[in-house]
Amino acid sequence: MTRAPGLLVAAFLALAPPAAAAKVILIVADRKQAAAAAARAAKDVRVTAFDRVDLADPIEKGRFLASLQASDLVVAAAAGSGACGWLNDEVDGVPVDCITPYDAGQVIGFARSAGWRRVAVVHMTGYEKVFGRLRARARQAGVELIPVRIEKLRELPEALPRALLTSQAVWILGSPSLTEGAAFEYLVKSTLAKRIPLIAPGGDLVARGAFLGAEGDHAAVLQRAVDLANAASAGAPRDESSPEVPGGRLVFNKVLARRWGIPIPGDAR
Amino acid sequence: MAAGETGAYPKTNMGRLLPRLRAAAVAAALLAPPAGAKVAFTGYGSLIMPVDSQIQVRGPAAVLGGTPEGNLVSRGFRLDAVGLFATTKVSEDIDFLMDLTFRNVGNTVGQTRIQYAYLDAALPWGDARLQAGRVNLPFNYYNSRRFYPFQRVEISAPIFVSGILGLPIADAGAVLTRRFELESGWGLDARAYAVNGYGSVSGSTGALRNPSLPGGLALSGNLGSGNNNKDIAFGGQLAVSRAGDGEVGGSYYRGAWDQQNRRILQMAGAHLHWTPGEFDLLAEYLHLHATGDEGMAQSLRSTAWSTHGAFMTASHPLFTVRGRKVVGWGHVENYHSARAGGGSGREVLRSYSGGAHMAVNDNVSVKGEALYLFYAIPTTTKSIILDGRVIQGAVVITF
Repeated sequence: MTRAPGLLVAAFLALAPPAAAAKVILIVADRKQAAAAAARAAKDVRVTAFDRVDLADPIEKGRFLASLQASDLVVAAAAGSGACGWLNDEVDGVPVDCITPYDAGQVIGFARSAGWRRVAVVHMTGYEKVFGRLRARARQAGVELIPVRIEKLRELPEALPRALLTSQAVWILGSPSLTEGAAFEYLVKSTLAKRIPLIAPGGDLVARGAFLGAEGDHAAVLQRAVDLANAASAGAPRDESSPEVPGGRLVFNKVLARRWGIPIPGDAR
Repeated sequence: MAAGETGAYPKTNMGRLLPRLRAAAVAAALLAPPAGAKVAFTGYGSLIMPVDSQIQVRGPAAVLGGTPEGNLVSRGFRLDAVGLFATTKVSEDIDFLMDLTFRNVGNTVGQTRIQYAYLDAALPWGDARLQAGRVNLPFNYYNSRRFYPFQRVEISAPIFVSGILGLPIADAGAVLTRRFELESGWGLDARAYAVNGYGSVSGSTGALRNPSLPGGLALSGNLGSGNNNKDIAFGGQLAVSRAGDGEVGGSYYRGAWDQQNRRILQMAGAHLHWTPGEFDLLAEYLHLHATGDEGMAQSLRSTAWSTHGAFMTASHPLFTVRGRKVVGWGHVENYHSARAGGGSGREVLRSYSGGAHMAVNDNVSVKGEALYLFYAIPTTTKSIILDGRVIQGAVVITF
């Protein structure tokens, strides 16, 4: 037994994984995506699915937060799950890199070609960094993005009409609370009533009244996220410059485009 | 084991103590959280509002304490429970989790306790995990996964298992868990545990339960912070599950509850959790078998007695309000206890309830329920009987 402490130390050291340069956690939207990401990721990157239902349980939420806060970097590629806003709101002291799930450059390019100079961007709290990045990029293209930051959904009926007065389009960023249920219906009704195009994060939202839906190349987004996480894990400096992934497509509402006389690219769906 | 056996230390108390202290120091250093480790705090609160509660209470005054016989009517507000969860990563594969819960908080704090506090370590063999500390026992389903108000649609937990068996069943010891992946997404979870186990009822050495003592009917107070004998209780659970379909499993517990390690409590359980689509069904069977219990001998006319019973809860969304699902549910339970091998002098508990639940948002849910209860157990003087109904609402907040 006198050798026990030494043996204990040796056992723990033998079991302990070799230390990575940085602890990186990759957040993806669901378990299926997590499995795909895990298959691509290096062993030092922990891959976790983001599940809002699980996180309603404070015990699960605590475990999830504790693991995130013990990391050096969180990379999120969880389109449609609301992960980006949630992570930016809840995770304290750890940088969060959200991969935009679609090519925002395509949206900005179309806004420019359509002659929209002021676009209102509706987003929940937590998306400020994403918005800041997009605004800088849009300015280079001559498009001004106007923030409509919503902390609680009930603020939307007060904030949106003001933005509609001066904007030529409305762009919804990410959060599922804005693309589901009553909030999305309100956005659609309000913009249709003013004949203002609504830009939504997802092609399926066009069938529900959006003018334009941006669809990402999911495999490319996932690969980009894995590459980013692997590089950070290996000690590479954090890459904040290009979290978007080129590719994907824009889905248009052809009925609205015809009625409102907005020309759309010929190869668009 | 002793240091003297190797000859490295003299055979003195200090000689024996030193290596143990060093081992403890090394273990503590290994388990200590890294400098700057962050603790994530989350929690919940549950506020209950009995709208119409009428329970006929009969029984010996000594047992009922300050509660008078007759029709017990109550209305008003009650802060049912407030819990604070603290979680931190001790190392890459080890978490520390703790729940500090205040229960029945009114003008004075009813009860404050550490519900659980344990290290949870991922072991390097398959999906094996080890939990050590004050752990929730993996006994049936409700105990570890439906106990908290935010985990269930009902306001009241199943009355027998919560009021008499005592939920959550948490004790000092360790739980070893391993999942074995099967075909088609199914998996087998095998759990084994060793804990201090149930002791005798407070204020008695020969009674596991005692209807003649206030609070003596419940086993929940028999799990103390230490072990009252040299016996370690053990048990386990085998459960087969698949995401989207549910889980079916069986559980077992065995331990001596008296100081002489002669009187045994055994518990066996079976559970079915079936979740096709949005339907959710949970059924649990419980069998208790106790020997040498002088307390229940007064009621059941034998020191060896057993309990059989089960509950079932089913829920399904009924309609939506402003895009939020309103889930309707129904619950039934029936338990009876008698001397081993049958006989007269039964403890009986029946309860039926139903209600609705709606999640207002990710953090707040509202509930309503109507509950009927009948409970009877004979004592040396006269039977204790509870018979009545409760209509109540609740708000549960998580953060």
